[in-house]
Amino acid sequence: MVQSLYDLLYQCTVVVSTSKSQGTGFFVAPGLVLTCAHVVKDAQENHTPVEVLWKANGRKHSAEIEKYQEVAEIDLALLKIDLNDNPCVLLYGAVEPRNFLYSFGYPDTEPEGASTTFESEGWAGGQLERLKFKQGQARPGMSGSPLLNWETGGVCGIVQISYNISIHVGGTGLLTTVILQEFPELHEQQKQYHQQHREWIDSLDAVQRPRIALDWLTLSPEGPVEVFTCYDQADEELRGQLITHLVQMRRNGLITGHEDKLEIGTEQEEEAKKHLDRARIILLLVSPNFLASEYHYSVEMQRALERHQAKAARVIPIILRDTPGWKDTKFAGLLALPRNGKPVVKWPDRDEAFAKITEEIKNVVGNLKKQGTP
Amino acid sequence: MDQTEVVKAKLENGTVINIEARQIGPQRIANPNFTAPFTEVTQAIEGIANSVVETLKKVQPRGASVEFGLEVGAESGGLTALLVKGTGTANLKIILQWGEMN
Repeated sequence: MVQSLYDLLYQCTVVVSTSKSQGTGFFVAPGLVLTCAHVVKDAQENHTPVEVLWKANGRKHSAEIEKYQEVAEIDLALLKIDLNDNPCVLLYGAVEPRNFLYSFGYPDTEPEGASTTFESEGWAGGQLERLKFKQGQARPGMSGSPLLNWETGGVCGIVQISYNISIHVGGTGLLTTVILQEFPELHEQQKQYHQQHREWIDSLDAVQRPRIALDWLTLSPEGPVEVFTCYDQADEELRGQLITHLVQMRRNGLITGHEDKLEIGTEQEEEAKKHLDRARIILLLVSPNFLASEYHYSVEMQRALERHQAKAARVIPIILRDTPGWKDTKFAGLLALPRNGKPVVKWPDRDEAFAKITEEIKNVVGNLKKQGTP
Repeated sequence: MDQTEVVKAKLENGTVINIEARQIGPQRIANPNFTAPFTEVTQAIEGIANSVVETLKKVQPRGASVEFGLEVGAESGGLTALLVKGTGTANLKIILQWGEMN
């Protein structure tokens, strides 16, 4: 399942505690939590311990204050914990008045965690370094909560101040642009994380995705495009012929892919799922057997469609054999090959069919490399 | 909307009490893990009362009576006393009286 951005944000939040105070924090890189300096001020001054509780796995971790900046309007701290498989938020600075903001934190009124929504009003402070927001109740404990800008899908700020904790009058926070200025090494760490773990980016909807203008989000022109092929055992021979035709593209470094035969119900299935989640092109080898298989239909094709709709991958059905039921599926809208609609086995020369299919796949790869998005 | 918060304070004898307090001004919202000492409030009261009495002494009336209301205020960093209009919503109503009264 492509997770919702709400879930992903929740999973990145933690409770930060010292002997004198408590607040919220969130993961910005593997093993690195961002929070407000004032949340850990007494620990910094008295060299007392800081503890981080990661609600998503229920475990407490002791933390080291790696960076502490409390000067003028800046009020930020980076905490290092002994973890390297945590999820991370996508930091993206764009925010404007009237943007819808979603936050998750650990206020005194809901210590197990609660969502809060706000509306952005714009900027505040001498250097306009703070984000002002309204229409939400900012309670004690929420300092350090991430502010997700729903318009872009990126975290645009961190909660710092409440105008009045008793009413829904909002408050202010520090902008992501300021965070990245204070801790410029986060740029590289964010890039490395999101290039390898695409869950956050895959969760962006069609409106959010084009608004994230990060140059490292596009496909690197040098790397081969990962292709995943979904097929039924009954079509093993035809699949083999397709693979043979794709060999030259593989040799030229244009594509790479999951080559081994898939046996459903084995550990290979888990591996296959991972490849399905990473592929930029997903080929569905359509035949009556393929359509009839519960696994291929409910699991593989479902997941492929989700990724296609999230614009995370291009799904291309390849009609191997006559499959009348295909027109009635929700995948019928996808542009299928061969272009003339004639199933491969009906062609007098199958090599010709596969050659044309290969050409089309090559075009798709070329487009992906040019635009960076499917 | 009700703008009072219930805050805890520790008396000098160690007892922790709850006080209806009003939040003053924008606050950084870490959640304090400790209980503020009530002396933060009593010191403010002492300060206010002293200033009022000293001022009146300068005026040297034969008798005077002063009444004021104090609320406990919660602000970034701890508790304080808030001098309020009237005595209706006050946590403490202070009446200072001396000399001859008519």
